[in-house]
Parts: sequence; structure tokens; C-alpha cells
Amino acid sequence: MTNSRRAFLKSIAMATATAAAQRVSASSPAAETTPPELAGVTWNKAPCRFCGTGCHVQVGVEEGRVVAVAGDLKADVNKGLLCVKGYHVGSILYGRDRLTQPLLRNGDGYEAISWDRAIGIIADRVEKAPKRFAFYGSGQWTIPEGFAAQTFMKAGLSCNHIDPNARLCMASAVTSFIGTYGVDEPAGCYQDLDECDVLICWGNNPAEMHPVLFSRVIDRRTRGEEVTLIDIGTRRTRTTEFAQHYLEFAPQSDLAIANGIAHLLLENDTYDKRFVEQFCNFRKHEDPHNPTLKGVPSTFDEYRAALAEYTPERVEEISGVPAAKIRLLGELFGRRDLRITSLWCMGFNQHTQGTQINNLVHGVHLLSGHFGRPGDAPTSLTGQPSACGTAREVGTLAHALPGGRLVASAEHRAQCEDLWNVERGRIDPQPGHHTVKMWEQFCTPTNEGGDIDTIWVQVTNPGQSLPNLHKLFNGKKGLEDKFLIVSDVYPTATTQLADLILPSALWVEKNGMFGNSERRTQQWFKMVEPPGDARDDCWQTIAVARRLFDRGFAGMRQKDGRFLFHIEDEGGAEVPAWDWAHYYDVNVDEQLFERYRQFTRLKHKDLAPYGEYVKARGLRWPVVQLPDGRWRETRFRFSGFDDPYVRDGDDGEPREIDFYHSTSGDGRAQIWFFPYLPPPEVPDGDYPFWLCTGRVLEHWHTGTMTRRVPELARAMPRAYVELHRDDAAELGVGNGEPVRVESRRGSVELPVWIGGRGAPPRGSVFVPFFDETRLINEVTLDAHCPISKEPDYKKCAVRLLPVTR
Amino acid sequence: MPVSGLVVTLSTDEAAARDAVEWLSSDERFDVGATSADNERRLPLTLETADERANRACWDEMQAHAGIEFVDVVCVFFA
Repeated sequence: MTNSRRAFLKSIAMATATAAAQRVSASSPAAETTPPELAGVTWNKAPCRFCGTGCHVQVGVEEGRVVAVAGDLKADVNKGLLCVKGYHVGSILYGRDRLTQPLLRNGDGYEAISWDRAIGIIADRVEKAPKRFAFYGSGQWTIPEGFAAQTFMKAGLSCNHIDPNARLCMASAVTSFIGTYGVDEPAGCYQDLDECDVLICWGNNPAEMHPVLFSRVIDRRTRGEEVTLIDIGTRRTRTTEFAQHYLEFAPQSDLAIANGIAHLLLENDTYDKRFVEQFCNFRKHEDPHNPTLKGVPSTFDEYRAALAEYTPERVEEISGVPAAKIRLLGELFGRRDLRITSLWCMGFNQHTQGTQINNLVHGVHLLSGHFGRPGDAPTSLTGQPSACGTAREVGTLAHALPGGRLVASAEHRAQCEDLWNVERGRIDPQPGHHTVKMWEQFCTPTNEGGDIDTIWVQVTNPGQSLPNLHKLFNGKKGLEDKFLIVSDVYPTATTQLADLILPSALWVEKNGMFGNSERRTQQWFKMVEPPGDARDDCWQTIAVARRLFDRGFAGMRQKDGRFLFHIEDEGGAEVPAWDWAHYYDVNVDEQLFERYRQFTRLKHKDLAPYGEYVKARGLRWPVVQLPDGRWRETRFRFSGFDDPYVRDGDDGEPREIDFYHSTSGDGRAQIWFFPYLPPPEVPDGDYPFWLCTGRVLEHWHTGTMTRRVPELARAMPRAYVELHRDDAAELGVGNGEPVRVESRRGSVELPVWIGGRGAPPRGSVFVPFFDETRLINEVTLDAHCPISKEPDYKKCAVRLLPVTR
Repeated sequence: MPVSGLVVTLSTDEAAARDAVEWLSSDERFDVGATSADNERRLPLTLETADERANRACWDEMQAHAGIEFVDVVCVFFA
């Protein structure tokens, strides 16, 4: 390098570093400046397409194309900041191989067909066997898309075989929220991250997976605030690098750690007696090996007795975490002068006792009184942009109805039948198949009892994301009468299996609404046209419904004979929304949302009118209307200082805390006991390593979007297996060399990465699942939580075999 | 010979922070910039090393110093 070039680069580096130091050090919010003024570029808001954080972006469009993305300074979630994926979110629309035409399998290939024919084929499959038709959806569905599918299946087909991929990511969080508080979703919000004194990351890696949220905490530290970060994990990650304390635990033993903290709170007499006596009950399972959602009542004395064995020393035996560290956690939770936020994600949810570990950590917070104040929060994060807004709130689950209702409840079915304007008895009371069961039934020959013939997949990639893929797919025989329909934007591992492929619009190629991890519902308008003949997933559902309606299928009629998806213009005349040429004559999203909104009040998940979300960067429900007409969101549920639904106490003032959906009917939350139980598969002589799977910063989930963004693909081009240096030496493999990662279910070849961003302990490996050329889910186990039915992707037994060529 | 732009967050321990600044200022690998008035704990600097491995090793060396809480890598130029 010449001296002049060196000097030039150093001057650039210094200028950049100085600008970064000064910008981050600013203690006042950035001025409310608009996005950059670029000639010919119009800017509009949208939530990012990727994770459940729900960052807002400003999308710059020029001549019908997204040309720029900027962080939205007006957004409370991210305050103008984006992560590396967010900065490239506009590029996801422009991969070279976008699907643009409906494709029907013809032998080993596909033929392009018309939409009219495609819609007819789907209608044929429905009519042939409506009760054997299933809809597999997504936490990436927009709220109107999910509501359309929900309406189609539960109100239209009277069939409950609809389940989302969110079953694979947050079902355990859901069942635990319901079992603990009587209603789903976190009580707190992201403000907890701004207020906590201690942040405990339980088996998650927010530095990579929710980086914008993580930066809210780290930025506080760089401004001089004292925030203690504790990382409790099964391997070191980028999050660990910021932590003052790292507790490495044996897989599954998080159950014991949580019990150990509770044990200490009781032993030290530092639990919050007042909080427990006023606001909590205790619950347990009659048989821990057959747990149920509701369990049975228990007492404080039974709870104490059950925790007796979880001394710090016993927890150390089970978990490998030193007793002193368990005592540290016990002491922290026993302090009233600290505010503690616990943060978790897939490490808890993708767990064969996922509901229970969620319950236990909610219980630690309740027992210690670290709940209900800003900064005191047990917080479950989601990975998908609308797992909350769509899958959980719209209820696109096999057992659920919109607004927190259940198909098994006659009262709930009646309410939904009235709101959908269909006759009594339309909704089937029998829950449908959850995700793993749905796909097992589809992949089982009909003559062997497989009772699902057709699955319609929208906005997800089960051919890559389901566990134990070999059990389901890969050239199985006897499935010739089955039919797989896949609506997607790019070719994927799932479209390779499909009989009918439908090209879909993506993100700002359609109107949409998402609901993020902090109950914030967000809206955006269509900004650009989809490529070729790609069309909105919502339109696809309505079009099939209309074809069935025209053929006389009774389920697609309301009680008064109108089409189930009746859409009208301002004058009240019906708009043929099933005709693509007219789909955007009116705002179908708005009409579906306003219809869905009526369902949301039962569980106090009230949503504001659509127009309010147009104006805002999202609103956190329950959103209630004030006397002056303004709409007010709720930051902290169940807390009297903020939640409008908290009932008054005897003094006429709002109660301090009110769990108004309490399963015990007395305004109290449930503190659960559950023992440590080992996982179903552990390393042994034949398969001596633990396998954990997960994500990386650069790629989102199965990588179908991010791997087509050149900058992200170059930054992280392929999957790998993280391995401890000493294990690699024993195997005789070096960095980058290939090994086969093999389980009892399948194997995949991967290059080794030693000394990378993650550091698993000896006897443990990590593989990210974003790479469709290396399907790690051929190796994973499909064991699941008995209550939530969510599979465990975080622990199974594998062996590593060096590959010699 | 990579050139990286870094921002270090200095420790709240003033003596340790002064020690860190003295070291960085005297070490020829670094060019030290100026802090801003509203946050004197954030120090911009550049680092030039013989190769990428030495660059990374230096980041680790900085992170290990008692007077430095964080090292943020803002940019890296590879010659």
C-alpha cells in the first residue's frame, strides 16, 4: 500500500470512527428529520419483513422499484436503527429467480398454467375431501392473510386442520402465558429493556437474533448506566461477549436452574410475600410425565416441599453451573431494589418441556415480585414478524379461534359464528392436527391411515424447517394421491416437493399488517408491483373461496347467503375481490381487519380502527378510545398504572396488579412447580455429541430471502458446524474441513468452524439452519412439548465423522 | 496491511481509563482521535497492523485492558 493510499484510508477510518462515536454518544433523541431527499424517490413506512422485533423502516421507491431503505427515526421500536438484515430488506424483492407464474407438476417437471386453472384445481381438492384438506400457514402471514385463511378453514370448510409454522417457534410461550396468566402474550414491552438493572438472557442470543433490541441495552451501558447482563446458555455466543456473568448449563437443565432460584428465594426468605399473597396461586401436575395445560391447584407448602431438593449443590450436579452462580441468581431475584428483565426465545420454546420452563421462569418473577413495573418483566421474544399478530392473535392454530378463543368451547364457537355471520354449528368443536401431526398424516399413505390428502402452504418453508425431515419427505412411496400446494415467492425446499406452485407477492408488493413481540400492531401500504403474475396470498384464499361459493359449496356462504368474504365499496355494492383485476379497487386489508377487530375484545386484546395504524408506527394493544376520541395504547398489561382493564380495588382506585383473565377466576396468576426431567435423547457411546441448531445474524430463518441478498450471502455463504477446538483435534479435523453430522435419523455434511463467533463446550456442536443445501433438519429430533406440541430443535444426539475424499 | 476504524468505550475507573489512553497514544499502531464534549468515554481511533490476524489480535488485546470496556469496530479497509 502506498503512503498516500494508507494516509487516505486512515483519514477515512478516523472520520468514520469519530462520527460513530459522536452519534452513539448523543444523549438526546435524533432530530425528527425525514429520510434523505433523493430526487424521484418517494418514501413510505413499513415494518421490516424479518424478525419479531418489528423495526420500522422507511422504504424509498423510484420508478416502481424499491431503491433505498432507511431506519425510521419516528419509530419507537428502533428509533432509526436497523440491523444488517434490515438495511438490506429492500433487496429481498429482487432475487433473480422470483416465482412469477402458477406451476403444475407434470412428471419430473412443471408446466405453467393460468391462475384460473390453478384456483380450480385447489377447489377440486377441497370439494373432494374438505375434512382431509389442511392449511399450513405462518407467523409471516399478514394479519388479514391469516384471518382470511382462518375464515376459509374454520368458518368455511368447518375444518380445524390449520396450523402455522409458529407452532415450531412460540407455541410453548403461548401455552405458558395461558397457563400462568390466563391469556397470551407478554405483559410488558420493550420499555422494560430501557429500565431494567439486570437483563438475564435465558438460552437466547439477542446480540445476533434481535440485535436492535439488544443494542437498546448496550447503548445504555455506553452512556454510563449500570446494567448487569447475565447470559445463561449452552454455548458462548456474541451475547456472551457483553455479559458480566456467563452460566453454561447442560441442555435441558434450565428446568433445574429455575427451580434452584425459586428454592433460594424461599430458603433465604427473600421472596415477595406480599406479592405472592395478593396476586398468586400455586399449581402443579398430578403426573409430570403427563402434564396438562391447567394442571391442578397446589399450595405454598407443597410448592416449598417440591423445591426442597433443588439446592444450589443439587442444581450444580444437574446443570454443571457452579452453586455460587445459582446463589448469585437467587440473591439478585431476592433484591427489591433491582429491576430484572428475563429475556428468552427458542431456547425455552423449542424444548420438550417448553411450556414448563416458560412457566418456571414466569414463576420466578412472580415469586420474587419482579413483575409489573417497567424493567421487571419475564419477556418472551418471537422470531417471526407476526407470530404474535397473526398466529397467536388471529388464532390460526388447530385448537384456536380469533381473539384468544378455543374451538373446544361452545361459547367461543357461538361467538365466532355470530361474528362470521354463519349458522350455529358451523365450527367444528374438535381441534385439528398440530403441525407435526399434520405433516405426519400427510406423509402417511392413505391406506395406512394418513387422514390428510391436501396441504396448502403459504409463506413458509416446511421442507426445510420441519424436524426429522427424512421421516416425512425424500422419495416416500404410497403418497401418489396426496397433493401439496405451495404459495411462495422463491423456489424453496418445499416448492421442490409441491404439486402446485403459486407465485406470491412479497412485503411491500401488497398491503399488510404485522403484530410484533411487544403487542404492537403495525400497518403498511403496497408500494410496488409484484413481478410477473405473482399475487397476494390473501387474494389467492379469497379466489378459491369464491370458486367454491360459485360451485354451491355451502360453507362459503354467510347465513344471509352472501359470500363469506363479502367485500363492498363505499356505496355498499359488492366488489368482486376474487377477480384480481378488482382486488385493489378497495382496501381489502382494511375490510378484513375491521371484521377481525370485532373478535379481539373478549380477551382484552382490543385493536384500534385501521386508520389509526395508518397514522402510527404501530400501537400496542389493548388500544382503547379516550373520551376525547384519541386512541390510547397499553404498555404494561395487568398493572393498574397503565392497563385500562385493571379493575378497581375496594378503595375505588385501580388495583396494583390484576390478572383479569386468571384461570382460577380470582385475579391471580399461577406459580407452577415442575421437576427437572431429562430430555428424550441424550448423547451416548454411539452418538456422543449434543446438537443444537439455530440462526445467524446475517440470515433469517431458512434463508429463502436473505440468501438472495448478495451482501448477506457473501457475509455468511454457507452453514457450518461449530465445534470445540479439543473435540476437533481428537477427530483430526481442522477449520473448514468437512465432517458428516449424523443422528439416528439422518446426516448432513458440513464444514467445521473452530474459533468462530460461537463457542460450544466440549461434547456439543451448533449448526445454523439457514442453508437449503445443507438441511440440518434431516438430523434433528421431532420430539415435542406434550402441551404445546412444539418440537425441540436444541438438543439431540449426533456423531461427527470426518469426510475423507 | 489492514486499517480499521474503532471506537473504544473507556472504563468509568478514571485511573484505568487514563492508563488505556496513554497506552493507545504511545503505541505506534494507533492514531487516537478526539472524544466529544458530551461523552468523553467514547474514543475514536484507527489501527494499522501487518495483517488481518494481527489486527484481530490487537482488538482482543484492547478488550482485555482494564481501562477499556468495549471495542467497537466501525470499519475495516483491506489493502
